Amino acid sequence: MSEPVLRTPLGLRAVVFGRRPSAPAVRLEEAPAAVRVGLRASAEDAARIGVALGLDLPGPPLRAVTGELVVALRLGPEEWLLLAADPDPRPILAAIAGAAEGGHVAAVDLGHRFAEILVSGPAAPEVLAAGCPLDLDPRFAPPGFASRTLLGKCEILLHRLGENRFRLLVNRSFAEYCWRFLEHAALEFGTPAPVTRS
Amino acid sequence: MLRIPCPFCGPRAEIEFRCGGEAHIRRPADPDALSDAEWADYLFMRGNPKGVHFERWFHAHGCQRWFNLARDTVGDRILAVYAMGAEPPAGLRREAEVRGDD
Ligand SMILES: [Zn+2]
Repeated sequence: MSEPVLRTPLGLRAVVFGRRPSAPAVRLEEAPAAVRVGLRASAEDAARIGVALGLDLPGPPLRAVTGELVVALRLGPEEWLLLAADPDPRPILAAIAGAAEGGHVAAVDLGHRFAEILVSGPAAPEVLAAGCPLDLDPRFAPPGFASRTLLGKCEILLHRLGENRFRLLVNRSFAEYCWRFLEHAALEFGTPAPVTRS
Repeated sequence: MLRIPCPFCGPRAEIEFRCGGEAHIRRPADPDALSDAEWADYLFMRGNPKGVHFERWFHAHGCQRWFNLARDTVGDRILAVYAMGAEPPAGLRREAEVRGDD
């Protein structure tokens, strides 16, 4: 019997765009599989779940709250997306279940629902601005900002990791559209060169 | 394009929202007691004021929450944003009544 293989929607592809290969203007890459857990809870329940996960919840609106194992994006008044690098969601779901006892909470493993695309480089904000209606000025959306929004015709979750570094989560059936939209926008900044990944 | 101040997310582009039509339309308490004309009025008839209009908006591609909004239909100026279930600000309600916008 062969082991099941976990494939990401975009096959972990990566590409850089730029006029000088040594200093690309923008880099697109699909991130590997990871934990993504959708959490719906009241602020009080979220606070208890936060204690169990080592996070200071509920946290400010549209911001990432970073803990040791988990990052929580506060997407709505009572909605968070929990992210962690280890692709097994069971320890996180178990911790939530323990802390949510008696509360009114929904925690759903959304790991396979999303493709995660990282957009980085000095031209990254401009590439996103080609299709995202958000004001990407750091005064409105500083590093740590996270929100549901649009890219072209598809919905994305945008998490700004640094001034020129963004994480996009997109439903897997839209992943190809989203990738090609980004590629098309990035062409303005130079010719594409594929990146071989280890 | 409107710039709509979502109560949770702050000012965002209209393309992220869905408009839910006129606000504060109550479902009749006793639908069986209504005539067909009254039921049709509840279902289909809406105000079309020149001036203050109260409407519902849904931040579909954002926090996914509903809220109420008062908009001046003449210049598309957004006058107030308030929670679902809340009454419109008193001053705007008076303005709408004076004009017969109800
Ligand atoms: Zn919102």
